[in-house]
Parts: sequence; C-alpha cells; structure tokens
Amino acid sequence: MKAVTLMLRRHATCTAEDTALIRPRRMLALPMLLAATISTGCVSSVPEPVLVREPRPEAIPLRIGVYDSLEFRNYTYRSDFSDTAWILGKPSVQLLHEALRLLFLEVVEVPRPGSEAGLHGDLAGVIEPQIVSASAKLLDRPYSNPAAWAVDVTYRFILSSPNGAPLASWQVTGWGKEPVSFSQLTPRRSYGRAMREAAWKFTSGFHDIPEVKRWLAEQADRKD
Amino acid sequence: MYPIDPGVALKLVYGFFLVMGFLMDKMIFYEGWELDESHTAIAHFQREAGKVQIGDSKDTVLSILSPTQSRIPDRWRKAPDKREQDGSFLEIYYFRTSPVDVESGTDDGFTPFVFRDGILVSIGWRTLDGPRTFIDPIFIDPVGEDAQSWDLPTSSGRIALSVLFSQDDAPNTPKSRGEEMVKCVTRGLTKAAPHVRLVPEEEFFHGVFGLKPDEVMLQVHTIGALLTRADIRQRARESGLTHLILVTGFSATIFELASGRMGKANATAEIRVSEPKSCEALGRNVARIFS
Repeated sequence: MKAVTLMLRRHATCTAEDTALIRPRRMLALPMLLAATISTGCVSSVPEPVLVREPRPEAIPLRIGVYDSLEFRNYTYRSDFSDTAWILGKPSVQLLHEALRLLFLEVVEVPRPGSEAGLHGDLAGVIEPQIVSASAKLLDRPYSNPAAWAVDVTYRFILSSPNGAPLASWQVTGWGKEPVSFSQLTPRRSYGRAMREAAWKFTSGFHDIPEVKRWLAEQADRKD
Repeated sequence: MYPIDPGVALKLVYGFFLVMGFLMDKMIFYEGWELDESHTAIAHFQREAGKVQIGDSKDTVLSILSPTQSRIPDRWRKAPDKREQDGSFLEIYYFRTSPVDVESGTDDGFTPFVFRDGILVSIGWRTLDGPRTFIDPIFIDPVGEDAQSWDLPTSSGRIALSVLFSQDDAPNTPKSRGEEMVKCVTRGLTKAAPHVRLVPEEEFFHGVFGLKPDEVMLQVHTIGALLTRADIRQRARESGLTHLILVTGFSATIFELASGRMGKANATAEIRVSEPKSCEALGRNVARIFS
C-alpha cells in the first residue's frame, strides 16, 4: 500500500528512495528498479550555484536591462535516468543576475525588449539569458574513479538594443563532475559546479565576444 | 486456500525483480559493462605479456597479445604507428594496459611494443621518449629548477602558507586524490620544515581575497594574474601569508604571494611508481624547498 502511495506521489520533492537510483551498479540492481518506479515524476532542486568573483571582470560603466523569459525562469531538465526533473531555471536567474551585477554598473529587470511596455530610456541594452541544454551522465570506473556525475549546462545570451534590435548572441557551456558518495548520491552538486563554470565563462569572456566589443565601443563613443 | 503457495509466489516475485534489475543494470550501464570488459582484457594482457620476449617475431607477439584486447571497444584502442627509420621499417603497436581515463585516450593508458623489420625490439615508453599525452602530467625532474633557485626566507615563523587542491585547475584529477596529495605535502612540510605555519583553506581565501573558496577561480594562470594586482598582494601581506602551494595531480606549483613569482615541484623521477609513493615524494620535494 505504501509503495502504491509513493508511486502516485508525482512531482513531490525527491526523497531517499530517489537517491538509491545512482548507487554503484550490480549490488543494487533490484533496489534501483524499485526506486526508479517509486521516484518517477519527482522534482528536485539544485544548490544555489556560487558566482566566481575573482579574478573579477573589467567593470562596464553602463546600465543594462535583463529580461528573463518565463521559459527560462521555469526551466527544468528531466533526466532520462530516473525521470527526475531538476530545477535549473530559478538558480540560473539568481546566478546570472549576480554575474551581470559584477559586469555592469547597474542591472534592471525589464520586459521583453521591443515589446510595447516601455523600457528605461538610459539603458545601454538588454541581455536575455536562455538555457539551451542540460545533461547528466553517471560515469563509472575506470572512466571515472571514483564514480561521478558528469553534468553540463549550456546558456545562450542574446544582447539587444533597448528597442529590440538583436546585437549579439553567443553560448557558454559549463561542466561539473562531482564524485558519487553515500552522502552525495544525486547529481545536485555537479549541477551547481556546471552552472558556476558557465557563469564564470560568461563574465570572463564577455569582453571577448566580437559583437559585444563593437557594442561597447559604440557605447563609449556615444558617451564621449 | 491460496491458488499458489505464498512462499513460492514470494520467490517468483523476488526472481522477477532480480532479473529485471539485472537487465536494467545492463541497459543503463551499458558503458560500464564495456568498462568491465576492458578491465578483464587488461588483466588478461598482464597474464599473457610474460610469454613475449624481445627478439620474437611480430606474428608471434600479435598472436599472443592481440586476443587479449579483442573485448576492448574500438574507440578505447590506439591505432599502430608505422614508419621508416634509418632504412628499417618501424611498427609500434599499442596495447591498453592501464585503466586510466579511457575516453580521453591519453598515451599513458597504453604500452607500446616496437617492431623493427618485424622483430620485437623494445617494450614500453622509455625508448620512445615517454608518452606524449597524460591524463595527469607526471614530471621527470625531482624538483623544478625555478623552485630550487628561490631564495626563500627560512627563519622561524616567517613563512605562512596554504596547501590547496583546486578542481578548477585539475578537473580530471579526482577530488579524493587531490586531497590526498595535499595531505602528503602538509605531512612533508610538518616533518621537514616545522617553522612553516600552515594556514587552513578558509583562512587563506578570506585573508587574501576576502571571499569564500568557491568564489575564486583557482587556476595556475588566474593566480598568476591575481598576484599582479596590488590590492591582492597588499591583503596577502596584511594577513601574514607568504606562499600558496597549488597541488595538481603529482605536481605542485608554488607561488610567492608578495612578488607573484612561481615555481614548480614535481613528484618523482620515475614515471611508473605507485600512487602513494608519488604522493610522499611530492611531499618531500616541496618540503625540501622550504626546509
């Protein structure tokens, strides 16, 4: 009866049963099967990723708008392995807003650029982050010793003028690989690492995007 | 009353789940299955390798050793090299002999068998100037020249350093191995350089950067760049920290925080030694610089 109740508990917070899914193979084949059945449809959060603050990027003395689409905010990655949905949108929003604050003088949340809702007149542009893809893979010995969760998360950034004209679009991918241990059976921490790395690539590589360089030069000219 | 004996039913249910679990195991971990096959193949190779002698013909050697590799997936093998050298025909066959990172296919996972005009003339990397790619670089010199030439202050209480392992710098090195290397270096310093003050990780990051460990991208090149900044060097001076030792695989990079100079200490003069020996060797070599 308990098992039936658990099976029906869809979209609930993941519990210990779910974690049994990724225990080293062979010895836990049976519990894995049972756990896969029980945890189908469960939703899991990932730890708040940490933003790399040093080496800090060259600060840009501009006000920038950030537009977070509903799709981005609510993005979840559903793992084929256990049918667990990992909430990646919410922590990404927070992480990337922090990253933008590290880069720009001021960051303001705005409606979709070019939409009828008015934007602040003094914004230099609007950045829209998106999650393009995410994946998680369990690596076992000797491919990885100890066994580890290898995770990647790819973001796309679209820079637009305040009136919605696209100026630049580029992607960054972060990878995270954290060992599997009895205290850490799920890829939660690997997601955190992957997002941290992607945000680092975004801030450290921002000035290197050719279209961004051009845009920054134009903004500097305008100020002069 | 029951159409079937409850004990038998229980066994049937258990058997069903066992079979299903086994099948799922094979489906989900197909790659792991391949890896197991590779492990078996490597063990098989180790048993057969003793039958091969220098001077054997290529046909004889391949007939003994090739079957040992047959279960290793193609993508984890290395194609033979063939070339002419000094008027002879040189062929190098690579056999997977180590379960290092199979996907990256680095050289240190293979042992080369060199045939000159169809005769086995050497086994191993020494005659080929060593593997060209490693999953973790292991350096040949016991201590890097730069490190030896340093004029380090040795008076008691003057040196305060942190020994750190960073996955940002060595993403392919398992964290557990990195932490073990840190322990070896710390042990080496405690024994051979007791005047050195060892500073915990958190204190280092707070003292030098005013941040938590994950908020700093700790890589050899980023530290080099950070130490060119006057504010970072000032913080290091004020916190009394003099050095940072960043451990990567079997080597350690030593940074002098006040000047930004860096040097390298390496684990061992031998390429193929056991991991604990390399660990202890690295600890000794680092300690030698500070003692």
